[in-house]
Amino acid sequence: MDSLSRATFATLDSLLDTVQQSPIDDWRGNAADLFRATLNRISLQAHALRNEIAQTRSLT
Amino acid sequence: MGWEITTGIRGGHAYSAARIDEYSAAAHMLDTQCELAKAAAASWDDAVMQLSRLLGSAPACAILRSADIASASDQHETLAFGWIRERCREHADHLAALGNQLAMIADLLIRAHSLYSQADTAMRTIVGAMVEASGTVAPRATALGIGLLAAGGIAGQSLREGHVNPAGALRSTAWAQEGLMRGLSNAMTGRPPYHGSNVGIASETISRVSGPINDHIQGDTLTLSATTADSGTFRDPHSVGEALDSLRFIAERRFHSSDTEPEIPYGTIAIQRYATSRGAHSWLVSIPGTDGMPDSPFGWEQNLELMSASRERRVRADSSAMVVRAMRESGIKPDEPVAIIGHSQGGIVAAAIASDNADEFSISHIVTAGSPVANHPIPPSTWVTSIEIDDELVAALDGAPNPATDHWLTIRGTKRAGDGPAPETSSCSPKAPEHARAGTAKPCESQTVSEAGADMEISHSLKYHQAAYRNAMDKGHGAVTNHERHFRSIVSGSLEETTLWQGRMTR
Repeated sequence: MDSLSRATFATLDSLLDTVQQSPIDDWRGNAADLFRATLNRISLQAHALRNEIAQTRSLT
Repeated sequence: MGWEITTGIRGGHAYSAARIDEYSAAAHMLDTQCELAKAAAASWDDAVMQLSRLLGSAPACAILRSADIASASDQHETLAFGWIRERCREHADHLAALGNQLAMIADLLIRAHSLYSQADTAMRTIVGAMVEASGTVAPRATALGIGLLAAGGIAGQSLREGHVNPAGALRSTAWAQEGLMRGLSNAMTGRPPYHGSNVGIASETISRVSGPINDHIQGDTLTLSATTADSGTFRDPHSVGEALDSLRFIAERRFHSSDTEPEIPYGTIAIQRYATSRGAHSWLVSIPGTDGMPDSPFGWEQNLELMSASRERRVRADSSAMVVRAMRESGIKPDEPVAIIGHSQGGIVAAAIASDNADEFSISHIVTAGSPVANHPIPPSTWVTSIEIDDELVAALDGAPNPATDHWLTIRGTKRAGDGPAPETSSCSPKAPEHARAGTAKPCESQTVSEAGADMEISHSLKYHQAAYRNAMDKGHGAVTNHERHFRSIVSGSLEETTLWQGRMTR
């Protein structure tokens, strides 16, 4: 469980890095808005999932 | 069930090669993260299985089976297995959902920036070249083969809908239409394949005969009359989308319905004058397509003359002659920017005027919807936004893909059956990621065609081009937004006047 948690943290950290680096500055239109909204949603969900896994890990 | 349009973009200045590489790399990285998230989800699912196996390994242990900490004695250490197992399952679900969302936005990035458009164009070019070669060497056999394919398309579509529907012929032959036109024009003009489209030369050959015959039947005297449109009912367009709405308004009101008189007579175009705050003027000319009425300048034969390779022939075509005369009588000055939007023959007229009247007018931007204009010598100073639907046939009659340059953008729509009733608003909604969790939703992928029935229709109607343009705008491709911005810069002033010009041919 501990090694699985650590591996998932690494995955989520890498995911958050990728999300922050995605090029969206000069992209306009509804798809760009959707892209930005989804990136924000993914970031929030990744952070929340990290906390959830940390909680599970502390109890095992 | 309705109909949807999804689009691809060709031409137009959008991004540097480095920028496209950056988008491609980002899409690849997001895809990789999707795979990693899904692999992590599988690992957590596996953890659930392992915990289940652990519980199953000691079937006699009541405490372990119940996974209830409270029931353990002081000497018995245990874990909340049920709770942990549930959490593992939740982690797996959340990671899978993250993976789906990552896959969805990676796909959105690819589609919105047409990152695979080169591969699509290459395949279309190869198929077109094969049909062209066949059409050049054996035009009758090729036409027969395509005819059989069309008959198969009609039969298939008719079986699906339970009644005869000829629209199936256009859909089943969409992939061959451009190549076939090239091949037939090569055969007609005696020119070899793979040296560009000879449709313009073939059109000139035919219209040398058809033009005088049409003049004899219809007459060659153009009568022009002008009326000022009621500002309350006529549109005030300031964007390509609004100009398409306005064009459709004119086009659909040209014909009689069963119980009402038409609000706008056939053979009518609209010329709108805009003024900036500094008093400068700009113009929008809206030209609907062929009406085929006996005394209209927008008859069927004029299409051939407009597609001729000869400038003299194009200039003499009744429809372009009428629009040019209306523009002169409107008082458009050589230095005043003009945008022209046209559907079908209207778009060919726009391309012909941009090509042949550049000395007289500043044609800054033309928008063509369903018009075969690839062979017109439009000067590079004129921006061209072409909207075409794969299976509408008319746009393929030029036998060539439109040039892909910084100022020439082609939005190519593909029609497909939709899933449900048509919403009036855009299908590209930020709520879409919720549906993406199921792994099937593709937001911004397509635009529902408003007022399309359940049965397949011929997609040359303007509502299909409107849906294609909306979908392209939704995707936010840089080239589309650049063209939109340029068009808006021409019609940005306040609308001063809308004049409807009606043309009639007499002997």
